[in-house]
Amino acid sequence: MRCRPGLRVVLVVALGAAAWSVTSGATPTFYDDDPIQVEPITQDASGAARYEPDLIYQTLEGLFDGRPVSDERARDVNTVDEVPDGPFYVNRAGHLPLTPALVARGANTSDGPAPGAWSVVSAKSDGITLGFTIRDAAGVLWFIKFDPPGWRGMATGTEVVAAKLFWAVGYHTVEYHIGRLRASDLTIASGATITPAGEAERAMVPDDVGRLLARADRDADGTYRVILSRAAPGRPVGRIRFAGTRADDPNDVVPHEHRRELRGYRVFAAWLNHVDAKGINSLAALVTEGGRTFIRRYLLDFGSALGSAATGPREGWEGSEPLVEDRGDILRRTLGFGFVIPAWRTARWYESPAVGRLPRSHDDWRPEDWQPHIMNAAFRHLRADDAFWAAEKLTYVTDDIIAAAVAAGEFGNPAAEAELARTIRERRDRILQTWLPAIDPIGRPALTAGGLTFDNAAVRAGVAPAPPGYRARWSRFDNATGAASPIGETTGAAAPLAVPDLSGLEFVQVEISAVDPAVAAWARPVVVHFRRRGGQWQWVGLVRLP
Amino acid sequence: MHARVIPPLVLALLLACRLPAFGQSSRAELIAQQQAEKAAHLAPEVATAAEIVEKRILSSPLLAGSGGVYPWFGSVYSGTGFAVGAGVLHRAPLASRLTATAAISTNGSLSGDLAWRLPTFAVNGRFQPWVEAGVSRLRRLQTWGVGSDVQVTDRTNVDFRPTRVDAGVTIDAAPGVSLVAGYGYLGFSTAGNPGAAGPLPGLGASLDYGVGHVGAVLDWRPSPGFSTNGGFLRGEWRRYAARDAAPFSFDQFEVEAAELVPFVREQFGLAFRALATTTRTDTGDDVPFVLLPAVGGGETVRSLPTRRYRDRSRVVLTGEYRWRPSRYLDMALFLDAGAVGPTLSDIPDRPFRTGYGIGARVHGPTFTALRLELAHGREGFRFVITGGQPF
Repeated sequence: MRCRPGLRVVLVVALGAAAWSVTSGATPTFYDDDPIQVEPITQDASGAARYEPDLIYQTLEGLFDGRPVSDERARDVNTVDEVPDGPFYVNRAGHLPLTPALVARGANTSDGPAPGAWSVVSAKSDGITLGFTIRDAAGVLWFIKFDPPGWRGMATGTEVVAAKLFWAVGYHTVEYHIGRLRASDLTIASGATITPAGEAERAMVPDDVGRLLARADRDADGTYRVILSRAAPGRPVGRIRFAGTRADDPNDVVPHEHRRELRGYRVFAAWLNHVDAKGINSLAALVTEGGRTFIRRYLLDFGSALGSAATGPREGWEGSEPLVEDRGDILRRTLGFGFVIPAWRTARWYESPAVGRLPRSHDDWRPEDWQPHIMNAAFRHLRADDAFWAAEKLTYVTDDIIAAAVAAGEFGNPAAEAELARTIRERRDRILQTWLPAIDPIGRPALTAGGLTFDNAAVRAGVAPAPPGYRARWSRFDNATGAASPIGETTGAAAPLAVPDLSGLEFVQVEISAVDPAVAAWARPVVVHFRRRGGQWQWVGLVRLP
Repeated sequence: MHARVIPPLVLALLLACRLPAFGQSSRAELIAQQQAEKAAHLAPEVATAAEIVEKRILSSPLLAGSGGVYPWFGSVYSGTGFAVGAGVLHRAPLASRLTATAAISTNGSLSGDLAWRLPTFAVNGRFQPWVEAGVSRLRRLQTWGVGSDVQVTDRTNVDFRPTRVDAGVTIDAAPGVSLVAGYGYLGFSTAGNPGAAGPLPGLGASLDYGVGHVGAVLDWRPSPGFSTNGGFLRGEWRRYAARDAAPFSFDQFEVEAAELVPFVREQFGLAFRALATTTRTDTGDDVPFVLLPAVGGGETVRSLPTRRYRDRSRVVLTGEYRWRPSRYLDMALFLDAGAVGPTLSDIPDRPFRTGYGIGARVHGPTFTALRLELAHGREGFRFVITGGQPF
């Protein structure tokens, strides 16, 4: 169902409200609690039951989803165009004082499994990646994964690095530790079963452990480097959907393709080349906090990221093409008799057993062209304002933070770690260069006695020159009707800009744009709103792209 | 907070237009009302109908490799056309499985096969015993006689009725190195008109064999099912000992080698293969025509009909230029050449039959699901549809 275009413009532009906002004459554009910082969770979701989506169906759906993509603004943002803290996302970068030490710790709350024997509850033996589920001496459930033979540190270390950085930018992740394992550390729990590739499910026997460990990278002393991820708190009820809402979650009212943090996940996934960013690599868990039971969504399994493809080094195509190439490309390459050569075939790579395969340079890398293995509806709905939101988060991920995350991977190869850190920095920089200037990058406005101040994220990040000046068009704003009446215009070479007489006004609307910018997109203003409260102007609204 | 009762259509319109619910005094209340509305209409999170259908299809024994009955498609014997049938698969621990299939081909040929892969044993399951058995009733197999100079007009049709039982063990001696040894029974009868090319050895006879065989493979390809680099070397000896003093005992030796040479990170590559087969009979014995090495068909010279030329020895040479339009589609331009003769030393003096063509291979990372090839040679065009990589 779509609204009439005219009504839509009035609703969105004139009122400058975000998706949660309301826009009728009977209700205000901005409520007293705007902008909300926390997504309300008001309903008990304890009735949610576990549902595991089928991986192959998800794959087929992602590969062949021909449904149109609406150019619709994200619906879960608050009135200042930010994502409130909630079951999918928590604001960290740009909100918390992120430090290298904080990021290195990430979601960890312990030092790892309790000392003592590990009891194997089940084994992952699908023939692709190897892993065990164990219970430590304290009864805590952990998942163990290994490096493939000859690639010591690659899969395990990469997973840690990516988990730390996804945590830093705001996603819920679980606890990760690098550890060591001796085969003798493992005992088989009673009732443990295994389904070896090509066999029926059966009880696990000690030989199974040896057979599986034979597929893992082993150190000279007979131990195995492993990554231990702690089971997420709560009861698993499935995975993250990237479209629609979960039918049994009463708090889930925004279709996921319209959640900014899931759209923006595409930008972060591009950053870390997390090509396996699919539903199966996430978790929806029923948790109880503050007396309310709700479903929290976690990102998991980052072994196929950066230079790692989990079972081997990253393949050249990964990140450049989806799992199944574009039909036009296939046809061109077929008719080209091999001489239509994709660029990734001739790219130069750095390769190391510790970190896998990384591009030597990202000068020509285009983040907007990045492709996960499987596209999803939320990724398809990514707009310039969603990408800006994600890129702006990355301006707070400093080189030191990246270095700390890489160090947490404990690769044990300084040269390879340096290459990995370089890769992450370069990809971040390319994202900033691409997405910050692509839209008017004005943000964090404030209205004080000193004038109108604001931030230009692209200039702050050093990815675009400051424009010759800024223009602010001021309007009286009627919060009850959403009507805006012009009252003046001020300009200046830089913030702060002069403020016209606003006496007697409760709400003011300001359209801020660059004057004669080198980037044409900056001429389109961001629309911000302030509310006077207690004699001070409070920033309550921002629309970057209607 | 009390939710207002709003007719569903009106509510839908309001939500669709993103107009507010009425009466909230805060954003949190507005969202709470939306959540309360949803709480009144919760449903289980379940698979869609399409997902259920997909899971049923993919969990079938044919596609998932799980146990049960499955449809079977393929060929019961090269040269008999496309066949359909049914199979049943039973899996057991330690890679053990029992497979039984029955099929009928478009030319009316019938085949029933049983394969039992026993549990692996020894270090890391390196020893894989197996038992295979099959009964076929193959009709109207095209035959042109023996030798390299048989003509197109020499064609005749024969029926072939083999019964076989074979048991052996495959030993994965080291990565890429495997040994196979086995012994079994082969019995068959043939019937038909020898045609204009002259007598066909063993035609009309019922023969019983004890067949022993030993083989070794050195394979440095990433996967035998699909590869873009590497190669292999294979050698096999088979002893066909005819029973009841029938004069058809012989040995067969076969050597095959292939090398895949990729360029530009496997964007394209060259592939080469050589195959040589020869037989040595006991004194005074002969090789029944149905067991003679042959040239022609999808595995040798693709522009020729299946087993177009037969003799006691053969040599096949193949070269391919391959390119990769997709990770699931390889294309190839190929050139085949093959010759038969009484001995390998006679082959250089025999005419090599050549053909060329273009092929498409639909594959996964470790298997080739479908091979489509159009070949042309002196006997015209031939279209090959089969599975597995050519080499």
